[in-house]
Amino acid sequence: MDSMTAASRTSLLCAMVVLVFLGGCQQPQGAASVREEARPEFGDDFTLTNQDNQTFRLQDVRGRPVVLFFGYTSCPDMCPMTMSRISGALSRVGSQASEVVTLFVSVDPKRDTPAVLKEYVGSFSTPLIGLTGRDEEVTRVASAYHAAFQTVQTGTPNYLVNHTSAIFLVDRQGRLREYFKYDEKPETLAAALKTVLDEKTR
Amino acid sequence: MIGRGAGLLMLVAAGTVSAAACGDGTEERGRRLYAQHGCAVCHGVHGRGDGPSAKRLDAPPRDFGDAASYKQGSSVSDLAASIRNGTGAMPAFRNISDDDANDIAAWIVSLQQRPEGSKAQP
Repeated sequence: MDSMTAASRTSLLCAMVVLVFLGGCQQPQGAASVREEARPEFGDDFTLTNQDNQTFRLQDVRGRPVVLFFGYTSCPDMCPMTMSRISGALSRVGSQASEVVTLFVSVDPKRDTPAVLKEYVGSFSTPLIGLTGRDEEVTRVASAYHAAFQTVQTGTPNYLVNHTSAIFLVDRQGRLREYFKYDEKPETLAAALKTVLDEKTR
Repeated sequence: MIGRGAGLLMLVAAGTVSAAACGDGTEERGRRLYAQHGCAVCHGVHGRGDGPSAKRLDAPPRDFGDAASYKQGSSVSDLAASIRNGTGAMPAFRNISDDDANDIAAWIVSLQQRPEGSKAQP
């Protein structure tokens, strides 16, 4: 019975891990503070196309903290809520917020062309960079961050996209330092941003 | 008598200035928060329900100029509650404080009062 219980627990844990890293809208459990060490298993430099139809390379913003979120402009709930939280966090950081690069990586490149992204990011007073690319490019970036996405047909032309909705924080050295749940408190996000902002570039 | 009259006049004037500053300040702050939180993504810069994502949503976002169509009420407190708790297809924005939601709601109410066809300042 004990071994059955242990097996069940192991199965449950495995299922949770799979859900956290591969599942549609499941959330990784974000920490309330920033780890001192990087998370080498997450993230990588990448190249995508921004809302001005120009090439964007993550390494080009080295030296500035990066907030990264995978979403899509037609998202009816998760993305607006998360972007609101990110904007709220940035507003709490003060003048240092201008150093932060906030990236909205589309997981719906079919609809989210640079022109569509330009309208979307222009709807926020918070400076945002919208990124898109070919399917395989977006998939490669998402995979590096253990983010998953999957199109869900709704029976209407307005299909949905299930996607990992974690908020990723990359430090000035380009290392992924922390990730947070989409519904993390803006105060917590702001505190994490302040920590990374106050670090010197080596 | 002159003193009391002058005092009363000063109080009235002070009250007028205070109310005007308060009202403008709340709406103006609400306008900034509306832009900060990206409300325009769905509702549009001018609050007409025509944001860039609106055409790809099954449930059309509210046109703030059409107060009669509000299902949960169109007062500042009603709208603040809708922002915080969600309504219909709109999710709950519990990260927005009561004060901020009230100011955003005040901005939205000001949009209800604009004549048809007029545009709010983006």
